[in-house]
Amino acid sequence: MKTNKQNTNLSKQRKKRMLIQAMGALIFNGDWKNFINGNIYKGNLKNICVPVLNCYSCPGALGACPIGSLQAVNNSYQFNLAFYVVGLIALFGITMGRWFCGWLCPFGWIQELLYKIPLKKFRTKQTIHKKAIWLKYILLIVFIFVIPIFTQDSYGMSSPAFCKWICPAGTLEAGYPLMLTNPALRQAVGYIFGWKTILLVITIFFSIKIFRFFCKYACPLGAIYGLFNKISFYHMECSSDCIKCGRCSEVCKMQVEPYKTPNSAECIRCGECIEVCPVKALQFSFIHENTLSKTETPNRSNNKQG
Amino acid sequence: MIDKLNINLIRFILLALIVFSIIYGILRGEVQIVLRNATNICLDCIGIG
Repeated sequence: MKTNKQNTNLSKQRKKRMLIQAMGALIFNGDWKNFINGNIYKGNLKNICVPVLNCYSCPGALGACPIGSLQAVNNSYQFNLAFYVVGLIALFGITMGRWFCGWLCPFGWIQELLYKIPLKKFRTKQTIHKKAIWLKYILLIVFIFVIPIFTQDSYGMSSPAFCKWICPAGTLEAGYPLMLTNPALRQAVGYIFGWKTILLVITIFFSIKIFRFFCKYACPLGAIYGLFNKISFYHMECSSDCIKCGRCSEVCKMQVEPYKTPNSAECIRCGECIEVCPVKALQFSFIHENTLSKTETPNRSNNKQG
Repeated sequence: MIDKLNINLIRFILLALIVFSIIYGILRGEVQIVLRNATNICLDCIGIG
């Protein structure tokens, strides 16, 4: 009976999150007319970075992509470090951690929709998964900080390497919509677009098979937010009521073990573990409403055994 | 175990540094670069540049 109720709650939680994700995608890309006329929004809202990976060259994008902006400022001839953009990303991270990934990111939402395609699914082996998650940190360091330093021209400028060579969100959200509607851009397509299309196809294929493939292994913004997960104001707590049944780990599609590491860098704060916990030991908290002494300690001596 | 007081102290110190960083970035004109890049079609981002 209790399990049925938990499943109902889980289903409601999934629907609620899907709805909010859809709204996020529509709001962040709210200048819809540009999808028809093949241009992009050029207003002052683009002074501000959105808290998600959303290409600012997407025709409807109302804000700036934080990863694109980070590279734009770092790679400009005036500055070497983007205090404004780093500050904004850190502000998003310190307040909510990876909550933005789970609830607002349009590219995360697209991957979740792809995962709904009824084909055989993979859950990466935990040993491989634990190594593969470091890839996003490597991409962050190499493509956003290292390559631009070594590819500066005589004016001290360089191109945004991650956007140019990797980002499948840019190809999907900006590249294809603009190509389809803007004949001038269609004429300029070259081998880089072909390379990025291959990466996009790979991302789509693996997103159908593996839950949020890009978020888990390649997203530099998720990597940065993940670093904040342990100290963000909004965080998860696991109380001493935990019976270590492992139900939370089973349901977690990001392959986190919430009862051991409730604030893992991989947690996108979807909240599904909270819905299935039979003793309600897991919960979200802002600053500290609950006693932290009960959390973050996997080997608690006062745990009841299930 | 992370001490309740310490983690909140770390959070608020970080928050203060972050706010300082944002203000400093705005004052030295980084916002204009963000706006300039975001309001022009980024050929690199879409795979043409």
